[in-house]
Amino acid sequence: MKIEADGFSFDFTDALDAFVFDEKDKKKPHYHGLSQAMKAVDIIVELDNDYLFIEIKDFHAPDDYNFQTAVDDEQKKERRSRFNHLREVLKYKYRDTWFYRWAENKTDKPIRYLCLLTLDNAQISVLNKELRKQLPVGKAGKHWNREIARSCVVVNIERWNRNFPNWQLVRLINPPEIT
Amino acid sequence: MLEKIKFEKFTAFESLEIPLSSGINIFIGANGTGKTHILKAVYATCDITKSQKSLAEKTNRVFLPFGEQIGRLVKRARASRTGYFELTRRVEDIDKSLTIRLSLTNHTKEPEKATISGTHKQWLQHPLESVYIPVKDMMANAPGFRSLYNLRNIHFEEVYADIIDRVFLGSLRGPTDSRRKKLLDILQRSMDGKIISKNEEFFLKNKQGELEFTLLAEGIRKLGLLWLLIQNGILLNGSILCWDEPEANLNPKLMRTVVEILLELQRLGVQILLTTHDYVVLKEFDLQAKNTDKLVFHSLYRNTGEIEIASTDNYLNIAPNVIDDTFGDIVDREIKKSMANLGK
Repeated sequence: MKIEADGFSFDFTDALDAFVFDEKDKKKPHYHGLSQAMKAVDIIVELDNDYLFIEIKDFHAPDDYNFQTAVDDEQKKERRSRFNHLREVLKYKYRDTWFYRWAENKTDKPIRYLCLLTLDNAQISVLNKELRKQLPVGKAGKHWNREIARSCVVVNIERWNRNFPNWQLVRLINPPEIT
Repeated sequence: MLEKIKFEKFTAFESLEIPLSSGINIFIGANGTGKTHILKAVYATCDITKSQKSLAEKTNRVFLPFGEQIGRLVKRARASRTGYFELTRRVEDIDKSLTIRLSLTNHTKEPEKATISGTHKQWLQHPLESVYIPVKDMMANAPGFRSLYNLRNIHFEEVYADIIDRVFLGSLRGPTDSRRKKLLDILQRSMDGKIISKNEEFFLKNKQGELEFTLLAEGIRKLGLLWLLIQNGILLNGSILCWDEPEANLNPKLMRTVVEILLELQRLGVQILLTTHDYVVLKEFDLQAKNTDKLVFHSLYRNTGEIEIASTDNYLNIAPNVIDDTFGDIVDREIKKSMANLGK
């Protein structure tokens, strides 16, 4: 099942359904309609036993988030704050999407969150760890009987293609230019 | 200025030629891809222009093969074989490139039996200041080390004795110029003091007093070493600096200072060769370098068993990038754990 979003084309060969969730076109069947109140991930995919929530971010200056290699404390603070903001955006997109889908009665299968970001391997490794804690993944609450996310992975294009050969990913447009 | 180095059947290399940048050369690669060997061969060949030692003898002392049998530096094979390395440099004074080659067979036992060829005589006539900073710090162990080493009864590669010699023997040439002073100031700020020596022992001196090197963090000792080499004029225009894993024992914050200093030294005309396994080092260079800086990343890798090299001046084009691949591998394992076999 082919789907396009944010300059990328995906082909989920084993999907039961796949659609743009952050849909702005009122005529489309999956029109979101609550964008003034709730954030939304870009794509939702339904598989036999899982749902995938997919968020895409193509950066023109990935190093703006690279706080680990900042050249001074001020830059580190600035980059760390951008990085934290990015993590919070990803977190609330997931949670709001979850609420929306809960109201639709569509949280009947485990949900996995995939964030496709054009950052380097070291950056996605750090974000992966932090986002997992923040969502949070698994039965995180002491008294929880259910989980709000089964898993969460942050990937770049290279890692996506290496790990998900059956969900082919193609960039449709050139990467954003550094301004 | 060093132009290129070539290896044939020498140590880990079957056949390898490396064009060198006149600025900074950064070698990356997995363990066992010969990064340190490149630095040692370059250093031995530069050092003899000042020490006037035989290239074979110096190479043997720097590599220190078992039993000091120089033939063991030939790449291992069952049959008899000859190996060599050769370095080419440009000497501006005579507007000429000079090449020196050290050849040996795997049966060569003593350095005297090895063959030195090329423009050997001219090579020795044009001195080239060089320094090799090994992975392990030696400054704290300087007292008595040199005399002990000269008795030749301790098993240390000569680079360890040489670095101490460089620090002690270098002499300040005239007043410190403004660019050198700027570098010393940067280091002093990071170290919170300057370095003094008393009877072969080093101290960090600041308002609180004098702190001996043995009590200092190894990272600060490294900055101290750089301070001494800049202060005593070893690192000047035309000098060669070989540095094996500058990140060892250095926290990432101090690495920022080290990269800043290295870029500035390159701007002063010091040619630099360094090895690294560290993501922060690579990124620091990528982020701090200006367009006018001369920077080349050399990636060493094994292809069907033999070591090959890919060089680029663009951080994003480093391939294979063993450092980034390591993070990639971690991410892959995380994905596998999180996603089971979905998407495969």
